[in-house]
Amino acid sequence: MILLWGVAGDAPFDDVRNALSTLGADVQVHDQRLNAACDVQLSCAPNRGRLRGTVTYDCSTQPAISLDEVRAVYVRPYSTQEVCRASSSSPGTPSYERAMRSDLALLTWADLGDALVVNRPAAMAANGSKPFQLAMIATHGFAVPDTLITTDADEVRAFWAQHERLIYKSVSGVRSIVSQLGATHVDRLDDVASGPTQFQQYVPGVDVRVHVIGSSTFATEAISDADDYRYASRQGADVELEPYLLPGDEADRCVSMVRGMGLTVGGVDLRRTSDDQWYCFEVNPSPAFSYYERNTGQPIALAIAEELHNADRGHCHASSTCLTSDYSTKGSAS
Amino acid sequence: MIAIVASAFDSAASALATAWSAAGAELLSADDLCRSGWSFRVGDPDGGRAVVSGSVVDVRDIRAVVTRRPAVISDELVAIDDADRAYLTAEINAFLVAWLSALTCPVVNRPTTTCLCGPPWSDVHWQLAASRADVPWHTAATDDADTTDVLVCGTTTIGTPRREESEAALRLAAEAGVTMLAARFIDGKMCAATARPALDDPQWRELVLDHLRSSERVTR
Repeated sequence: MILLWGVAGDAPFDDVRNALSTLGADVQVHDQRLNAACDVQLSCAPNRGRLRGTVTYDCSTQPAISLDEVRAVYVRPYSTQEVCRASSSSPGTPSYERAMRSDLALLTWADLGDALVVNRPAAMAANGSKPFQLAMIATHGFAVPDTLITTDADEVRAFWAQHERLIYKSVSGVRSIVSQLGATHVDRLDDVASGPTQFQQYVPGVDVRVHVIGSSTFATEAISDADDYRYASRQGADVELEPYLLPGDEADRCVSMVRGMGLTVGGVDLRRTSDDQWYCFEVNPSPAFSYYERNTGQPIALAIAEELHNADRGHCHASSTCLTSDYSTKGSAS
Repeated sequence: MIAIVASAFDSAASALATAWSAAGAELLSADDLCRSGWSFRVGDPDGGRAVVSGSVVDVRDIRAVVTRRPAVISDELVAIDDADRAYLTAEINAFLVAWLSALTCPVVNRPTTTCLCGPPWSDVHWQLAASRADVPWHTAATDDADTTDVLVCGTTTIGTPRREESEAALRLAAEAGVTMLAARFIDGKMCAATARPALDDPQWRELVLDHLRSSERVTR
């Protein structure tokens, strides 16, 4: 059985669910909004190192989930605090505490269970510290931008003088718009003393988002004048997304890096410079791939669904034949 | 210098800094993260600077770090505007994960991506890890049972004369990937474990200090 854990209405979640339906997969859904109306029981089986568990719901029409029968799971929950806030449940209330308990138990299970987990929460958490993840990326052979985290305005000035063009962005996983440092920031640089702020060398080039699904890759070129193409319209720019033929070496490196990070699925943010260097900025462990799929037709949801379906059927997901092979680069392709 | 990463409101951490003052221990609090002077280049952690107890120090001069907190919390950032506290708290924690992971000096315990002082595991997680490390687990512990507390630091243990308990605690520490761990035993079976043991026992403090003194910087 395949478990989908997330929020119905979230585009990637719905897309994977629909793709699994196309494949005729055996699916159960845990909607995160039911966290405050369910109990998750975990126990350690007496035999060596196995975790057992069940999810039961207050509502009798909602079938219980035997976690022992789950062979594959797609994990795309939002922050439980956000979900609770959306349902007007505040910290300290019984429903909030119950939702948090359910979340914690499911996270524990997802980290420790025997199923194929796309992706394990502990592996995803590396993205919560950008400089931590960047250090991991550097070990996989990609170029990474020179990066400074500082509370010292003089350090920023020196770094700026060294690189001429800098961007700044959040250190944590909190979403932020990547922006270039400009003349309007000069008088505000002393504000960095309030807390660690991250600055990076600006790397000019072509943005390529690579979705790695198991050993397959789907590369998309983002053509835009914006510093952060995801927010192009806010920066008064346009963005165009096109399927991109990724060189085999870079595709292999992306697959190897994502796997090395303990992930099955990852959204790899690359930039190719004019002298053909490949920089990697980030690996998103829960990519909102639907945006790319809608614009390019690349069957990313189907590829994820196939990974899950193959694991559920006991197939080796890395070597399985899949319907998406015409669209994707498999490991060491051209 | 030994930097103790802890809350300024943590009296046990302050007591630890006092006990280790002769070894140059100083508290590194949330306030220090909101002061000018920090500098960290990804890939060159030892070339940077830190702020410890209000003073800017070269990272090369920090001989070891002991982390006594799972995370910085927003309530500590009293000098920061309410509207900015949650964001800044996330930024500080993310920074500390990267910085503490990258340091080449001994760090006890190294952070995980979700906790600054080692794995923040639940009881069931410890139980499963124990099972995987062949450590017998006592599932029916009662409050009035006779217990033995064992501290692991590096390859040394303290707190029990029983070799099997020492070895079990060492195996669990290895399974958890931590330098320091405390485990509780009843009748030779483990019933609890933590990667953030209280260090209020002078013998335990001495063991940790000996470990820090004898450990070298790691080559990356």
